[in-house]
Amino acid sequence: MSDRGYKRSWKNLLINKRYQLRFTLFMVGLSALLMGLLGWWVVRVATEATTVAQSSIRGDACVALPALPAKPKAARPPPAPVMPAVVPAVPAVDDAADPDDPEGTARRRAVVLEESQIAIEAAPVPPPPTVPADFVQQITSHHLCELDRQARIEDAAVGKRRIIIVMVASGILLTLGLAVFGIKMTHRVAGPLYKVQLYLAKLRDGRYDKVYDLRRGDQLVEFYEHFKHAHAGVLALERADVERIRAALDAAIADGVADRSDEAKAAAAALREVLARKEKSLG
Amino acid sequence: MAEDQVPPAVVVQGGKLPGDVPSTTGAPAPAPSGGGRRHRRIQNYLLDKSLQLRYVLAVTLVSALIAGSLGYLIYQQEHRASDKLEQGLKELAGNDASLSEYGREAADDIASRDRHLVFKMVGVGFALTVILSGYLVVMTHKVAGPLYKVGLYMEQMAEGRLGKVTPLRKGDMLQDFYDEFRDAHGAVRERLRADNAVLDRFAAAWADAPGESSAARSNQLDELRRHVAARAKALG
Repeated sequence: MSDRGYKRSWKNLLINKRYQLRFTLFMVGLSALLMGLLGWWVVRVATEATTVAQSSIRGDACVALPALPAKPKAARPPPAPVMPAVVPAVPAVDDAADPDDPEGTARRRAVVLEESQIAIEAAPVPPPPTVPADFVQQITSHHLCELDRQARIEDAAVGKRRIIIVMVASGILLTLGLAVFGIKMTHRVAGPLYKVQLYLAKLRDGRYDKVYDLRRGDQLVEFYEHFKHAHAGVLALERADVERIRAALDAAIADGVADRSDEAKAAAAALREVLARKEKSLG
Repeated sequence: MAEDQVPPAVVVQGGKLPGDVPSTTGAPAPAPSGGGRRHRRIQNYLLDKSLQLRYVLAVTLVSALIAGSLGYLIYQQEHRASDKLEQGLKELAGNDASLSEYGREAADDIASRDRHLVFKMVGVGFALTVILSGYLVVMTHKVAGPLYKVGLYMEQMAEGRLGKVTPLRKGDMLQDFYDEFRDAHGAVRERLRADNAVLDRFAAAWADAPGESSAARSNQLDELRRHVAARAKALG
C-alpha cells in the first residue's frame, strides 16, 4: 500500500501539543533538575579542590630575597671648622668727594670688613657594599617564583571558572537538544494518532476512504494495524448490509409485496434510501 | 452472610478484570458499573513494551550521560585535591619517619574518602535510574493504556462487533484522541443500529403483508431475520 509520500516538516512537529509538550517538558525538567543538583555538587567539590590547590601552591616556598650586605662604616668626620665672626671695623669718615654731593655737605661712613679664610675638610667616601656574585640571580629567581606561584593560584581559579562555564553551557545545550529530541520523538507517536483521528472523523461521517500506510520512522505501527483492521471490519459490515438489502429488495420486488401493503411499500422505500447511502459511502 | 449478599464471581481474563479493557471474546464487553473506573495493577504497567521501553531507555540514557559526565567531573576535582594534599604531606614529612607514617595514614584516609565518594555517586546513580525508570513506566503507561484499550476495541470492530465504549481511567493521557475514537465508534454503531432497525421493519412489513407464502419469500425472510438478529447481537 502506498504511503502517499507525506514528508515531515518542522512546522508540523507539534501535532498534539498537550501530549507532546507534557512529555518533552517532563524530560527537560528532569534533566534540568539533575543538572542543577549535580552541578551544585560539582561546584562545591571544585571550590574545595581549588581552595586546597591554592593553599598547596601558597605553601610552596620560594627562594627568600637575599639580605643586603651591611653598609661599611664611614670615617668619623672632623669637627666642623669654626668660622670666625665677621667683625665690623670701626666706622671711619670717608672724606673723598661725593659726585652727588659736590659740595660735601653730607656726612659719609665707610665700613671695612675683615677678611677670614674657611677651610672645609671633606669626609672620606665609604667603600661600596659587597654583594654575593649570584645576588641578582637570587632576586630574579625569587620574583620569578612569586610570579609563577601567583600564576598557578590564578590558574586554579581559572580551572574552576572553566568547569562552571562548561557545565552551564553544556546544560543549556543539553536542555535545548532534549527539547528538540522530545518533540521529535513524541511526534512519531502523535503523527500516527493524528492520522487515525482524521480517519475516525471520516468514519463518524460515514465516509470510508482508503487507509494509507504510516510514514517511515513512525511509531505505533501495531496500533495502526489495529485501526486498519477495524476500518476493514466496518467496511465489511457495510458491504454485508448492502448485499443483504439488495437481495431482500430484489426478492421483495419479485414478490410484489409493495403492491399489496402500504406499510411494506414505505419500509422498502426507507430501505432503498439506506442502500443508496451505503453504496455512496462505499464509493 | 446471606446468599444474596455474596458478590458475584468475577472472571479474571489475562490478568485483567472485565470492564477494565474491552473483552477479546465473542460478545461485546459488558458496560462496567461505575463508569468503568478500575485501578491500575503493577503487572499491567508494561502494556506496550516497545513504546514504553523506548521512552524509558531514552530518558535513562540521557540521565546517565548527565550523571556520568558530572560525576566524572566531581571525581576528577576531588582526586586532584587529594593528590595535592598527599603531595603536600610527603613534602612536609621529608625524611622524618613519624611524619611519614602520619602522611601515609592521612593518604589512606584520603583514598578511602575518594572511594566512598565513588560508591556514593554510583549508589545515587543507581537509585536515580531505578526511580526514574519506574516513574517513566508509570507515565508511559498513561499513554500506552488508552492505546491498548482502543486497540482492543478496534479488534472487536474488525470482527464486526461494536459494543459500548467505556471511558478512560482518571489520569490517563490521550483523552482527546480517545474522545474522538469514542465519538466515531458511537456514530458508526448508531448508524448501523438505525439501518438494522429499518431492515427489521422491512422484514416485519414483508412478513405481515397479505399474499401467498412462497418458499423463496420464506428463505429471504429467514435470511433477513438472521442477519438482523446477528447484527443486533454484534451491536450490543
